[in-house]
Amino acid sequence: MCRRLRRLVRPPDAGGSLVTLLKLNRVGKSFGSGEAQTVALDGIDLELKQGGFLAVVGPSGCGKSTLLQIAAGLMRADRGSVTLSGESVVSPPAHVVYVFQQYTKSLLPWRTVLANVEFALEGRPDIGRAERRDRSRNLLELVDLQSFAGHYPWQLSGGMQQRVAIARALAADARLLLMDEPFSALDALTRLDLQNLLLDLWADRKLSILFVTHDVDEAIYLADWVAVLTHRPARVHEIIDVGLSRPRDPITTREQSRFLELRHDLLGQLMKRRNSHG
Amino acid sequence: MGRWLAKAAPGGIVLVLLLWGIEEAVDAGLVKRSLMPAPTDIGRILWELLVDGQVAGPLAETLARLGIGFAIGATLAVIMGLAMGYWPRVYGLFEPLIELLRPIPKAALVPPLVLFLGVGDAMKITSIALAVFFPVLINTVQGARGVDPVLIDTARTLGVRPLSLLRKIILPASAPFIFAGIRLSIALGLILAVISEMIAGTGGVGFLIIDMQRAFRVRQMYAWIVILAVVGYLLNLLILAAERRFLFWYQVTERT
Amino acid sequence: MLGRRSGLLLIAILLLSWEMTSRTGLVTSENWPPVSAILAGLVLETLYGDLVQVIGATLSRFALGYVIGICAGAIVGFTFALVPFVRRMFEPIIELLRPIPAPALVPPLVLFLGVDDLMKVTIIAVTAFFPVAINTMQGASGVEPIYLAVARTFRTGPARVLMKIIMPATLPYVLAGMRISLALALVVTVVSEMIAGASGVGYYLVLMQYAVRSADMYAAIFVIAALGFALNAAFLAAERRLIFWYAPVP
Repeated sequence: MCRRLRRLVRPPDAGGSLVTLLKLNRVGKSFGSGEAQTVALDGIDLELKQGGFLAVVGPSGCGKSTLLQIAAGLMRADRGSVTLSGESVVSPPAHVVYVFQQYTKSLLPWRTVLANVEFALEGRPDIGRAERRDRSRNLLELVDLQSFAGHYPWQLSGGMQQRVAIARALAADARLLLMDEPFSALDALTRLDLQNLLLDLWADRKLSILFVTHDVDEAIYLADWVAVLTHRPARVHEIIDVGLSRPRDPITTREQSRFLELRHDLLGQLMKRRNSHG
Repeated sequence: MGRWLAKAAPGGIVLVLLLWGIEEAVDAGLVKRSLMPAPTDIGRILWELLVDGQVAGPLAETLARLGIGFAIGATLAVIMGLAMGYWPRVYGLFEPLIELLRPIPKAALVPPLVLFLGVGDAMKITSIALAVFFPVLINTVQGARGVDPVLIDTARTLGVRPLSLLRKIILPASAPFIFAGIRLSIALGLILAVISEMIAGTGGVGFLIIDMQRAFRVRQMYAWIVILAVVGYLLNLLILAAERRFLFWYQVTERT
Repeated sequence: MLGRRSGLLLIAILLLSWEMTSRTGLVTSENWPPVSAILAGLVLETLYGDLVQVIGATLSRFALGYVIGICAGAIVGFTFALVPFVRRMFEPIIELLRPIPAPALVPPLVLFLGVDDLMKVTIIAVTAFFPVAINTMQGASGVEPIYLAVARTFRTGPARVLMKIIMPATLPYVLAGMRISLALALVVTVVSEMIAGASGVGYYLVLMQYAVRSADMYAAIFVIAALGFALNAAFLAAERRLIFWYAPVP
């Protein structure tokens, strides 16, 4: 008996509550000019509901990072629009934090771990120095790094550095996290740890997350919905409803038949398209 | 072309304005001619010097001294640097001595050299050679010590003898550093050429500059300073061209 | 380390042979005094003579010129990096002045400013200016883009970006420039005293040369070297404290 995978063919949408938080509408982006111009993104349509977790997978170099940076307001789209709660995104909006893939470089090396987290709170006239310190310490506790507050980033392992970056993002009262392959450079066990940490924080603080990764397993494990991008020029090939129960478990969820079916299906798609592109 | 012009324009305009401003100030008597002659006057003298061929003599003198001093200093420095870079024993033997002598400003060595060698070319060439020697040596050592051990081991397993190894592997691999040292040493060598000519000279550009100052022939003094600046600039360009020719293979990791 | 010991031994042997050849009359020359005589003279001058004042005069000129030069260099460097238009306006002038060897600037400055401290401080400042300006400019324009992206993500205002990100990130470059300026400024201080001086170590050096008092002349060279060494060591110690966090890209 072969189980057919039920793919819900709906308009691009991702679960959570019913309110749309982030909407990308026919977003396009090209680089270069004249003959050397390459189209990175070609009409991306994506929607993230409040409180949802949307993963984006695709072959390397297909423009996933570009997409995320446009959503974060760090880059402008050439075509189409990005709206956050209905408002147009042209520069980094409040309560939206982009978490970098290069976590080491994203932490300021001349500041301690605590000071790095505090950075997110500086420039807020309503928060005094003492409160800033307290909040930052609490967040470090949340990611289990309270005893490293006085250390410097280069004294920490990769996983710990990324945790500092997450704590910093939370310090900025992030409602929406845009994460660019944040765990791809970590070893497998650390990755599992951070994935679970992320899920805990997501549920606990009712965040919305747009998560870019090349790791299909990770995408299925973490998200409500997985958007699959094509090769460059990238388009949304389809959006898959993960449909696995929560809370997810690092071992048993990955053994569920639904998980394996999704994995089989997604990998097949990505690899097929890879081969056809040579 | 148009874009280049747009980028160069502001600087060019400011430069022209500055020169014109000086010209006007001098004409209006705001600045004493004995201190700062009009740029056009300086230009005229410069032109005369060029046309008369009077530039040639002193320039050739200074450049000759610089050239010989550089050749001696740089050659010795590269040889010694490669040796120090390759053989740790040699490095250990000479490193303390080098570290001791390095902080001594070579200009301060001119007076004792005058006592030893008098005020002739020997003194000048020696001081230039000394000034050139240290930067090239230090950079060569740094380059030689930094050669990828894998390259060296590969060569040795292929049976390459030490002297050939030095010449064919370590020397080229150290070339980027050596060139950096050469660039620095040319600047220092030129400074020492000028100083030695100023302190104890009878000819050359350095001597002329100070001579013209003492004789209050200010326009000539500035003209020679301009010539000196141009020479320095051209020498730098020369080295850069040589670098590009010899170091086409070297990729410096740049931060984008 | 076995290696270093042989080096120190070499120095000892050289000094010894200097002393021997001089004392035993192997080399008879006014210019070849025994090392011991040099050191003795040095000690005497320090205790009873005015060596301290001489050094003081040199150091005060140096310090004043150096500080002015590096401050001006840092300001210009940052301005050039952050306001490209200003850079395009003034860079050609600076590029034209840069290749002029410092000693060549002494005669015109002598005309303008005479032979006393103002002239020397000016030329020291001008010499110290360039390395710091160039390095600062390169550092400030080359701040890791990701730091700036982080600042944008957290919606940091431009003034704070300057103070909290650009300046700390540029600090290693500024310090590198300052280190180069240190060595150059000291040399220029001594040279200006040699060419047009009335006090200071450089002047003393030339004076001793004219008077053929070679022991004192070598002592002066020794003092100059010691000054350079001490200043450099002090600078490196300060640098290490300030940029303990900096790991240059290999």
